[in-house]
Amino acid sequence: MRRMFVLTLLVVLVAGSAFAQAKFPVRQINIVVGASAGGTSDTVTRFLAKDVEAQLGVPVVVTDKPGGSCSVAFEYMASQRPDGYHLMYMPVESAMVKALGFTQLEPKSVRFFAHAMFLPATVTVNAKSPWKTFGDLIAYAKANPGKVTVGNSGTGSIWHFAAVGIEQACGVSFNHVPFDGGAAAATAVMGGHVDVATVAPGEVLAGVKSGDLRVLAIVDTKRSPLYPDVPCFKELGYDVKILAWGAFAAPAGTPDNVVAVLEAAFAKAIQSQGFKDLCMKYGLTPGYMGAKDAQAFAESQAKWYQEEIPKFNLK
Amino acid sequence: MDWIQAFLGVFQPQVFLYLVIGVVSGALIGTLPGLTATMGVAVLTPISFWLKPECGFAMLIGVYNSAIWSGGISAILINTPGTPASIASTFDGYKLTQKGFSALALNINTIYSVLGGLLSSLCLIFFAFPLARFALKFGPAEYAVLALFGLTMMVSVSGSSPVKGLLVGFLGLLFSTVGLDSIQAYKRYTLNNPALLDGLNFVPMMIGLFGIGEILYQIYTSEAKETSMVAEVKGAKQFLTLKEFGRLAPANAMATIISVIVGAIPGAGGDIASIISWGQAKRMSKHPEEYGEGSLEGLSVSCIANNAVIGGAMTTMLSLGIPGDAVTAILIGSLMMYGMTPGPQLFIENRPFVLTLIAQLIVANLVILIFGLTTNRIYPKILKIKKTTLWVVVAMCCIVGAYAINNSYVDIITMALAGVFGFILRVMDFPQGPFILGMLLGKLLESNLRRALSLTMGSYSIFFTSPICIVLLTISVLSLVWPAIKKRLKKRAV
Amino acid sequence: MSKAGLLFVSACIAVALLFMIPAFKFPGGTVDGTPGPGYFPILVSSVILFLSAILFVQYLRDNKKYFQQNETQKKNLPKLLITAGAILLYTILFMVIPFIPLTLVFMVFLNWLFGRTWRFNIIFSVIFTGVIYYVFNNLLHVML
Repeated sequence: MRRMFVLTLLVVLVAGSAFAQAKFPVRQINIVVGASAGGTSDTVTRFLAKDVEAQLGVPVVVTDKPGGSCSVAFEYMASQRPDGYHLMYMPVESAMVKALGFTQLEPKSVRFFAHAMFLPATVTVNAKSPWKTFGDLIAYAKANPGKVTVGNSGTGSIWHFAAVGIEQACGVSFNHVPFDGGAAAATAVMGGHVDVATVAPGEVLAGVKSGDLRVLAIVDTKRSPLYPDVPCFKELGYDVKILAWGAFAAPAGTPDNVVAVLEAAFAKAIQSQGFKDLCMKYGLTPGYMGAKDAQAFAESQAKWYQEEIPKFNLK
Repeated sequence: MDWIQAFLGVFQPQVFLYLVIGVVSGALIGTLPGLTATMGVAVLTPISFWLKPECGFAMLIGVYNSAIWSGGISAILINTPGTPASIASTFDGYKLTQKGFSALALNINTIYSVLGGLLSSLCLIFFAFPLARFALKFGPAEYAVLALFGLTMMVSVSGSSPVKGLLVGFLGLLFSTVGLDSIQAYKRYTLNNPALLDGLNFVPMMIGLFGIGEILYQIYTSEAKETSMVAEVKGAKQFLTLKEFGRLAPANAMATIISVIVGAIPGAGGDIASIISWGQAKRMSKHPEEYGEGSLEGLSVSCIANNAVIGGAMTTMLSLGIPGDAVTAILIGSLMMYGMTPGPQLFIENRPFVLTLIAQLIVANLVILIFGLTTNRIYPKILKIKKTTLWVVVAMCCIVGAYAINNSYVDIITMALAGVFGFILRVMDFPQGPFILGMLLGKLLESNLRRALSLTMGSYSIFFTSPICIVLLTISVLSLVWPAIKKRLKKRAV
Repeated sequence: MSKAGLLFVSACIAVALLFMIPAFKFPGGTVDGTPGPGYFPILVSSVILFLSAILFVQYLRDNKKYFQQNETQKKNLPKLLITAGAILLYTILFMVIPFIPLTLVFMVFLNWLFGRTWRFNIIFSVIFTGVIYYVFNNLLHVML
């Protein structure tokens, strides 16, 4: 009885994998997201998955495996069979986790096949604060080193580095206060518990609309479509290149023909009008890159973080 | 006028259909341990994108309310909270089932859950803005003191032996320190496993502690002759009398207020609210000794509390655009997908939609009331199933449910170990509640305590200058010494 | 003297020490006075040690037997240990063995352990495994 069962199972597995090599895709594709449901990573992935599903004609299922700044999902994906059916949404953290000591994996360990978007940090203060411009804030911070409290989305998170990057570029020193996620930091600014939050544009949108928050600057080379009146860092004369981003990758060793199929499908989805509209709503910057460029970009990011993170002296 | 339109809108056949679909699937999701309201809403959210906003939200609101309500069903029948928010319903609900009053307990769950949902919707209608403004006042120091206040409830949920309860509670606190510490991101007790960086997940722990623990305990103690669980006592009463209803009213009013406020505070949800409400009701009750032994008051309070949280959480979500709990975090995502940014602006720009949402909240609760009271007769039949079958089914649901939360292997192993631990606690007469309370409050307390101190550069004065902190600290101290004072007063009276 | 009680308390003390000793090696707080990552674990484990000490004394005086209080419990003990072991084993193997075969074996084993007839056992196991797989994998999109 059991023997029969194992035998059947083997036959099915072998037949299935032989078939898969011939044609891709033939069954359900899974994409893991290293964050919780409802966040930017999750929303972006689910949105693109729907588009890719329609193009490829197989179900594309998104699963959240949060934990350790995406390292849990990263390790899971990297250990899957490289057949193109196990993909992952790669956030900027995937280039940081090795330097942070969370896992041994880095962008080099996997195959990127598409880059989707960038996400800048904002410098947001309470609307009742005396700082009307970014210059006001920096002038105050220079006069009172260590007095300005800056909320971020967690120690070692990308928005923490954004704040550290601002410190270095402007020659000031902040009191960094980590919160559990960007929304919590934005809330704390609204309640007047911290002075500044360096979090994503979408996370402060509600507060800005209600008149509780004021965005002083966008940490990017261009303005954010959500806040067209707010100057970007380049205009202000600073050069900070700490940006969040999102891309997609498959395990190392995924065959070229499979990667080509995925690349084409995601290229179409990412460049669609629907995705551009979504980016607009969340304050993201669409930025498609193909497999080669995405891989090179992620690796250059990883190299940079591996040099910089030890300097930041987090611990 | 626009209110009438909002309500009429909910009764459009299409919208109402999705609302009912939401309630029914929510009932299924909530009853199964491990499938939380958060998960239900997360799974259905992508589906809702295909629908019109009012249909999509009708479904999501149906799921949200219904899953929180039906979490109490498994808490009452098999001592396993279906969702974390129904944790306090196990304290008295399961005891009632064991005494043969499962129908009564289920009806209390339905009626008080719906009452909690309705009352909190009223709070949302009348006090949305002041309530949300109040919630914003909670900064790191206030959170830390709130968590401290929650910890004083350990004594209440300890049952007969406070020392035992406190020991278990502090073990819970200790286990909550596993993972990256939230201030300096230092790896604590992670055994170099990335899955432990975020710490031990609380929901699998709870499922194991209660669900698997209960199964193991039953296997250990069951006589070969009894093939099924305690059935319903013949002719047992099914509903509370009006008089009883009146007697329970003060405790429930208190619980509603506590829960709406806790719900409105971002980051504190139904689990914390229901335990705090239960503990507070026990302290103020004339019969605290009945709590945990099948007290009707205790059950009603825990049921009203977890659903009252919804109105509070929706308040902060709609009026400030800040998630009040995990579910509302997802709902904000959906609102933004539809191109609406929650916040005061929403009340002006999209007033009809806000009214529709509130109307849906109210109608969803009425649907739950009808659906619940009609189906409540079916659930106790579960108890007639052979025990052995029930054990296998529940064990399986616990395992897969624990995995489903985060798709994490570590979670199910934690769940199984917690199950063994829960069994040992049962046999050794230790209460399980404080452990859960410790796990729940540990991170909240530690991270906010340290965050507050980092804001003030190490000065503790922040805890004594904020009015909210002072009030909460005073209540905490008073409630700890109150039993002693009461004893004194009684002695003097004699 | 209650053996089980003393054993339990000793285990608590061991756990507290297991958390406490490494905590002393954690980095200290920041210069400005924020307590470090070791502060809270040390505080909590000290309380556990204190409470354990109280209970330890109580159990020394207490003669209550907690395990195997009566014949039923004695008879059920093997079944209990096997079930607990099976659940632990299942959750560990969950990572390596595909869901359907593993679950089928697990169900058949549990039903056999609880003395069900083979007919019921097979039918129930197959149907229930199928239902669980369908509900979670297809409806809820949980990767099993």
